[in-house]
Amino acid sequence: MGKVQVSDSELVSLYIRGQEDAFAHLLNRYKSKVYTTIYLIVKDTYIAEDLTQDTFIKAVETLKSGKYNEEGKFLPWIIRIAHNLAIDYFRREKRYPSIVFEDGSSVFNSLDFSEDSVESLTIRRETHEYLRELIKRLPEQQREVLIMRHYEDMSFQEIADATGVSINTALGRMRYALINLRKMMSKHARTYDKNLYTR
Amino acid sequence: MTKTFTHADVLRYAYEETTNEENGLIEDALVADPALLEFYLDTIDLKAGLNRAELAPPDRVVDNILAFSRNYQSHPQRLVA
Repeated sequence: MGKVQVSDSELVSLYIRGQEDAFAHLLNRYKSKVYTTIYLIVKDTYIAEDLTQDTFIKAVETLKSGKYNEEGKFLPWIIRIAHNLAIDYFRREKRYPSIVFEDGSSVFNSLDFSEDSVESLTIRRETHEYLRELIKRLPEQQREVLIMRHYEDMSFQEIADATGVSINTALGRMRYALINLRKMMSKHARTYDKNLYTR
Repeated sequence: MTKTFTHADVLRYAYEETTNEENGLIEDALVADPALLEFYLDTIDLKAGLNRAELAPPDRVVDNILAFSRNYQSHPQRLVA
């Protein structure tokens, strides 16, 4: 018989009542989702590490001070903290103008990719690391929807509400994000394994 | 009348946002429309790739967070970067 997984709300309650192990479980459960979400927005591992730390520290402070709203779910709540911290950082530090070319790529994305070309060449050897590089190269609106849907677990309707567009626009952006990812992968067919599913 | 499904519907299906009623109709459409099926298979393949592209923070970060939590009640203080 398989193990019964303790729910997030049970872990939150246990943690608030003083069980430190419960928080370790929550951290272990969501550290990758939080870190990946932040990394794909700020595009820098060191900044992502700092902001991941800040995200969970904020969670600890809120939970231990009794300010956590029990009505909300833990994952959307912590992902929202992570997303907001990452966006704040990104807006504060962004030095390049966000000029979008006709094909939808932006100057900012291109500069970012060409700057670390030696490192990028090494990274591209690994299919999934390469996929992360490609996500970072997507036009901003498409990258945003993809991160929100895939890593932040927001529904398309929630994304539409959060970004002020219709659900059809959110779906359209996601569709183009996936199509563009596939196109970019096809251009570099020699450097990645096309069959992602079986890896 | 048979409903025509679009890539947007298939995306919602792939991300499990469709109703049970829609699921049956979309599955019929996938069987009947090779282009739609190809888009669906490509989407779930990319989804699997995106799952595997998830990163984990270094242990150092996890240890810092746990230490902060343990020390919070007696001496709440910010971590040094």
